[in-house]
Amino acid sequence: MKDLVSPLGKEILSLFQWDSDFVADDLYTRRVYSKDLWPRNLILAREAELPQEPAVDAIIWPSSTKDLSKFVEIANQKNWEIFAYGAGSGVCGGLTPTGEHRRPRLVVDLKRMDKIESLDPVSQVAKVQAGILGQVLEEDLNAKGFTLGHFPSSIYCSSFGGYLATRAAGQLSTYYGKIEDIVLALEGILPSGEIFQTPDAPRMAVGPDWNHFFLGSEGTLGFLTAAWVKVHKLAENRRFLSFHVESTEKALDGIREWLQAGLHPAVIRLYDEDESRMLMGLKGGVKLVCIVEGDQEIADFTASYISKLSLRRAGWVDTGEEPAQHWWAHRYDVSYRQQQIMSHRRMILDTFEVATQWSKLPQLHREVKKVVGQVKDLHGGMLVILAHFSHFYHCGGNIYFTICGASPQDVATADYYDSVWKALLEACIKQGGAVSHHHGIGRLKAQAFAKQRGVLHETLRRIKNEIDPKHLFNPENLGL
Amino acid sequence: MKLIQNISSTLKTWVFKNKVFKFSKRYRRDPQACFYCPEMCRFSCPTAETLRTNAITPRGKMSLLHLTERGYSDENVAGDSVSRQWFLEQCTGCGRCTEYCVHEVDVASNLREERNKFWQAQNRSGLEGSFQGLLRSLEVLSGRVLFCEPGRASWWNKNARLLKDLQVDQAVEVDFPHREWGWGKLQSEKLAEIGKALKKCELIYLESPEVGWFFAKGLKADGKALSAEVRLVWPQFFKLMVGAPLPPGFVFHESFHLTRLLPRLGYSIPMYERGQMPFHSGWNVLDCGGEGFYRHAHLETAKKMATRFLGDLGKDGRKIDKIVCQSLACVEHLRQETSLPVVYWLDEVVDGRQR
Repeated sequence: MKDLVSPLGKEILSLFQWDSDFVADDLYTRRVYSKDLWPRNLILAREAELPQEPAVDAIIWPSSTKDLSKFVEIANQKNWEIFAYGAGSGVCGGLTPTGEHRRPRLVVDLKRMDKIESLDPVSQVAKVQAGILGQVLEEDLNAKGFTLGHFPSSIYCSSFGGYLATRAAGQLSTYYGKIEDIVLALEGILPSGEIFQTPDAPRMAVGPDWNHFFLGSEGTLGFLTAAWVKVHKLAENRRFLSFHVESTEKALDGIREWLQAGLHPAVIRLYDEDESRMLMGLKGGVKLVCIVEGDQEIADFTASYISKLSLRRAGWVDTGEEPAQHWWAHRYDVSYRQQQIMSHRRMILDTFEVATQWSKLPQLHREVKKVVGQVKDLHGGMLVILAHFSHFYHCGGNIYFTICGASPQDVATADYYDSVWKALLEACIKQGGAVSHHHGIGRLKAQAFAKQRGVLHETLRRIKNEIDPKHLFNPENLGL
Repeated sequence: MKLIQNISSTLKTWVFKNKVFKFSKRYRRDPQACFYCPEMCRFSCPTAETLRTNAITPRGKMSLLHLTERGYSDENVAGDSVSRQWFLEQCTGCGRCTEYCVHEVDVASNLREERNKFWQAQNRSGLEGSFQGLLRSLEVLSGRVLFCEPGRASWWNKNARLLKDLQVDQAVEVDFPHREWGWGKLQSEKLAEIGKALKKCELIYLESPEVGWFFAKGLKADGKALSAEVRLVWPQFFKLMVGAPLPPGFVFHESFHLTRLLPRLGYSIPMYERGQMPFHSGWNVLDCGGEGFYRHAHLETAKKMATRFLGDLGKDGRKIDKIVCQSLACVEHLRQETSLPVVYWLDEVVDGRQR
């Protein structure tokens, strides 16, 4: 590693002198670790006159839970702020330090804790460390004949710990579940430095569920260093289905019927009228792709039953396997594309993933899309909101909005971006939707999160005050 | 000035980049070619994965070049020029990132060119003296020669039958300046002098694929510089290895020059095109990302990389009996990191023949 340059870096190394790779404090590394992939950061960097000053003072790479626990104890004594870091691909500013830089800020990169510690093929449970990258984890499990079933489009550039911290979802979540469905138990470190483990039985009646307390805490309540997760045997069979449907609402009715009949295809992606027209070139109606996987006979049955249920509905047309196969072949490509638009001055591009119950989905969809008119009335400029629906449950699903716009000449792009987000969040809250389905809260949605949760957010703040009284762990994130 | 800035900004946008991509592969080797996506190249990079720092992902390293192009000083970008160079050197040249990039941005070549600028600016006085020494050692050669790796002449002389098969008069140890650290520019400037020194040679066999790379690059740049015919030893003997029955625990350590770098840069490798490379043969292949090459600059990182790649070999539960390695540098390197037998490929070929 590079030579240390600051007294802080040298002090940290002197405390962990058995590990020469423990700390870095050079200018470039500090700048890299000063932000995540929140598009607002990208806008500011794009339009800045000079490279931005680093917002953090040093980065450390612990190699074990024990070393990290020791570090946390020392940080408490020294008043060092701590930012847990996986791969830095969060899009809500969860890892972008804000507020006055009063105390030393240290980023803790967990990527040296990147092993599959154990795999029980009988129970189909693996213990996985937080720092492993998603794709590496999946390849390592595949080599043993298993899959995690968690395939976010960021799989090449996101970490397992990030999935835990943000309650992430993969593209096949309708079959394998979101990360909170996949996790059996957690290992972590409290802000005091104490190591904890949540119970690992598949179901239990032993008080409140600690997993749900820590999952989604985004680095504010300590570290999540490992988790026991459900794994599945690699799928024997994969079936591809595609449909053209007359309207979004008719398609949602059909999908609801599948889910409530007990069918769980791995992938269901429904593109609304605007997205079907602008990105898929459809002249009318909407596009729906569906992929079923699993054991040979179960997948065959699921696929044929889905076809049967769907094709007896008016306005549904079977478009064959090809559209679904095409989506499968290009399922991660979207992650390469965002910057193509963001490289233009004044452009903004972001995504907003909300969730609600079936009966509220169409209304939530309509109301969020009305933000286009509100923002145009306020600022002018150009704004487009596309949407697809990609994660479904017995009682409801999510809507994934893609927001693309250009700020007018007389408004700073970052201000325009903030204004668009304010309108989006207000529309979602008004309809009672969850302001995030799987990206998390970060700094972007902190105020909306606090407003929506009311007394429960205040309760969370009290818990935070109790277990992290100096607010050393990712201060200001989640509005805490 | 505003108009010029607007035009410049437009030229850097994706519409323009996409149009250029359609017409020019060369553009992939420009810092502007990177779209700065959310680092989909990260997990493919052996140095980023080994050192686990976000500061040396392929996209991160490209951003250093980009900032320089935008006019920022080394001090602004990374504190100082030496520090900036350290980040640029964290690249083995393997090109995996290019394989995973939908835009096929050639990060490794961009970084190599930028590194060379730094070393040229450092005015490394020792190089010139050693280059003159190299020329003197080449001037005495004539006829059909085999340039072997340092320390390998005695092996070739012991196996004189192989030299006879190649119709070569003598095996000569030559330590060519093929490592990129400061030599990249020099080799293209000095190739004419090397060619002049070798004017009495009619055929040159090269044992090292890395030396082959050095010659290939120079010859492509100036086809008239060398009058002798140049061949690689590797294709002459590979068929012997393919013909031998190989046990399941056999792992072949590839030369990234042959399998990644040269094809990526557009050099024709007939064996590659005919499907005769090791991975085409269905062998278990260890591709270490070019540590043999990289270790000359960053030994500690290279050691960590080897440990990582060796660890990966056992992930699917198979038992490894032996690693056969195509690069002599990698043999030495891997032997320090594993208790498994590591055999140089020519030793394996000759032993196989004798069996």
